[in-house]
Amino acid sequence: MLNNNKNSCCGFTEQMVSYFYDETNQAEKADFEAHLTNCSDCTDEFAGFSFVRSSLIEWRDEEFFKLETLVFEIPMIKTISQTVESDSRSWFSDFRKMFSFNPMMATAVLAALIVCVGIVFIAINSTNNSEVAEVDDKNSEKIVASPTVDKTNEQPGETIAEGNPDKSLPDKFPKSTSTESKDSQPLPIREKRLVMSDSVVKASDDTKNNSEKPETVRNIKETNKEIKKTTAVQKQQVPNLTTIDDDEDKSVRLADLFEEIDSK
Amino acid sequence: MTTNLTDEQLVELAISENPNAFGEIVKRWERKIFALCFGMLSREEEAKDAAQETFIAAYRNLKNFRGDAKVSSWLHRIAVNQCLTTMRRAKSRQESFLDDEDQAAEKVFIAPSRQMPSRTTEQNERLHFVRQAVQSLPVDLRQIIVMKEFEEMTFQEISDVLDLPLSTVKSRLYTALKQLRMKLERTPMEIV
Ligand SMILES: [Zn+2]
Repeated sequence: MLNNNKNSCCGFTEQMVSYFYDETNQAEKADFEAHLTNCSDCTDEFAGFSFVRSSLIEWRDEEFFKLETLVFEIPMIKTISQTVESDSRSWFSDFRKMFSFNPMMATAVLAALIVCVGIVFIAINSTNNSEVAEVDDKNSEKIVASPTVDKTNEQPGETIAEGNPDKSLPDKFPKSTSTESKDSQPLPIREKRLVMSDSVVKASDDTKNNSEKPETVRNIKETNKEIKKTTAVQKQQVPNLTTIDDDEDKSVRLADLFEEIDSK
Repeated sequence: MTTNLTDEQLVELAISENPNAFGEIVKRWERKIFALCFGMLSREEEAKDAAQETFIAAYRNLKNFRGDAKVSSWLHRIAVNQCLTTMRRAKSRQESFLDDEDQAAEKVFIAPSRQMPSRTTEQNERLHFVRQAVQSLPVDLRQIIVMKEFEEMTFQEISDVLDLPLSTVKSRLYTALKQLRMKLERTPMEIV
């Protein structure tokens, strides 16, 4: 049995613990090692302390070091991680963030751009349309003055025939749901309006890229394509027919004259 | 950046304008204070609570912190007091069940052995005796052995924290090791 009650025999208490925990300078270390080789009590004590320490280290490693580092939260203050994070954030990092690539943002910008282009396109087309409408109104007034013209008079009818779906496309045109372009409307007007609406449809197609086109619009579109084909064929034969012109107006006036003569 | 400041500057900052600076103090000392509490109490849950209470008490008493003192000493003193409070509470709970006070004092802080499947029975017993031996040390010796082995502090650091002469720290550690040796070199049957 070891004599555990005995103090460090030779007054080397401090040197013993300093040497034991390796917190000594070279000179002190050499001194104590020289003493240790000649003192069995100190050697015995050193061995006993080593056993104690190995037990403590085993306990520490087995039970304390295996515990996770706890994060203590003081309810009154922010958590540490938040504090450190807010410290490390600078205005420059925020600024840089503005320019970092964000796929969501890029998609949104692209979509907005497409919508804007579509709106501009529609606006331009509708401006043209209103110009045409003005012309149409003038024509309408003239025709309304002689309501039988489009049925009885062949001269406007020639112009009408150019784009007249009743003749070239007898089945499709009457199916059009456009209320404005029913029987009373002169066909040139109708054609122009349809062409306009076609471009509008195209614009809306571009913007929406949408497969759900209203049936009416689709019909009009198809009709217009066919009208264009017909017009192209007729253009070769009668190049001047594409315009609504003085000739047409003159022919109307001639008809009026004939009517007047007849009536006389 | 609060990370470049000393503990004392952080406390000053926390008192004067930014209470969040105390978060950095917690970050720096949480592991060591937890180690001290674990070494003193031997139970994970109690050690965790004691460490948490230590930081809360420190924060609440920030304005009482003396500018000339060291934050580490201040925190260690609070932690040791917190551990003593925990021990007293546990002791009073135990005493209500045990008639013999000496028996209660002997047994109260002996943590139940953590039965890890990876350990042998022999190892579990050995760890139990180590905990028991450490818990039986007087508080002034226990805290030094815990600071040395669990917090891995140097003698000089312990001296600074406890505001004790270096020689006193060394002699206390020597005494602690000697007493532990006496306890651990006994056979397990002698302890129980
Ligand atoms: Zn000796």
